[in-house]
Amino acid sequence: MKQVVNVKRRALAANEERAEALRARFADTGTLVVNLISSPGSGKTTLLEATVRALDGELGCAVLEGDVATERDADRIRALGVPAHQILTGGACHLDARLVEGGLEAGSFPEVDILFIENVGNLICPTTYDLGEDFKVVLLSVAEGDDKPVKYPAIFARAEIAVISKTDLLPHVPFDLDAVREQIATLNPDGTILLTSSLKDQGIDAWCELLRSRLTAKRRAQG
Amino acid sequence: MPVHEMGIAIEVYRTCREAVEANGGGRLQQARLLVGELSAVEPELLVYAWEAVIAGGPDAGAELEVEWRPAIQHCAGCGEVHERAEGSWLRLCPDCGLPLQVTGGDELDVLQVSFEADESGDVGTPERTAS
Repeated sequence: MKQVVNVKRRALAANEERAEALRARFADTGTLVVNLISSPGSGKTTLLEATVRALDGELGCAVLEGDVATERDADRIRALGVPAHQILTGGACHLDARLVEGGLEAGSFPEVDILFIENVGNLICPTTYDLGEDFKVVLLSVAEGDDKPVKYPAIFARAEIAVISKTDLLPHVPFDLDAVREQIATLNPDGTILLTSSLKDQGIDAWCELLRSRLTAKRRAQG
Repeated sequence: MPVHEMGIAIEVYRTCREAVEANGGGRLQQARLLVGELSAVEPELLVYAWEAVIAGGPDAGAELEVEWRPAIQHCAGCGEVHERAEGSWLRLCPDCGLPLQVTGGDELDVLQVSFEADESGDVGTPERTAS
């Protein structure tokens, strides 16, 4: 017998429910959670290295690293004395809330002030999956070209913070900074744009200050 | 096949199976899915991925029907703009050229499932998991 049933359920509802459970857990512990997204090679791990160095002794950090293969990124973070766990997706192009849950269990981190989740390098797929984060950060390195925000608009519209990275290369590459600022501002009028060079330690203070203020705001909001 | 739509198709299929199981179980024949234009999903690729997901399983051959939903475009100067402006996220008002505020269009909802109810009730649960 044929049956027709109306469902009206979001296809990603299962992920969204898991992400909300994670968000509740991070609210309980007062942990700020940052989801970093960019194409491969934009400097996510290098920014994290500079960040945990800058926050050393002040705020407790932990890092979940998402990659298709290798422990390299987690090794780089652990080398700085910061707990890190590598999530290997084995081919999948993004992290989802289930992988984050598993990564937290496997990593068994101490309670930290800030958890960074470095997504798989990709400007498209990670955009769709909520990981229970407080906000998404998109990185765009100047070597990638100044048309990326309009070519990959979804992530630039959804990320609260856009980090333009590798600014020390600006004299060497054609990159119209004003045009990029305008593209991002149009896609996300309420977003924040930061300029960094992790290798030259430029813009890291402003980035860390933003993290501190978001952490304070989160904890104040929860009393 | 680690394409974006593959993971989505697995989630869509899982959501469909849950709906079928919740209604007594059976063999899935058709699913209707609402896809917004800003959901970052290409319907053609999704149907292709869907076919790969269900191939060889108990629901092989089930049809995925995609209903397309445009986003709402609003111009601060002209009000709601019904003509489809060019671009996806970054659109300019066709009348005055101001950037349009674009809302909605992010739907990715399973609307309806049709299935052949299994009298014996002996239908397995979905075995595939997202990778």
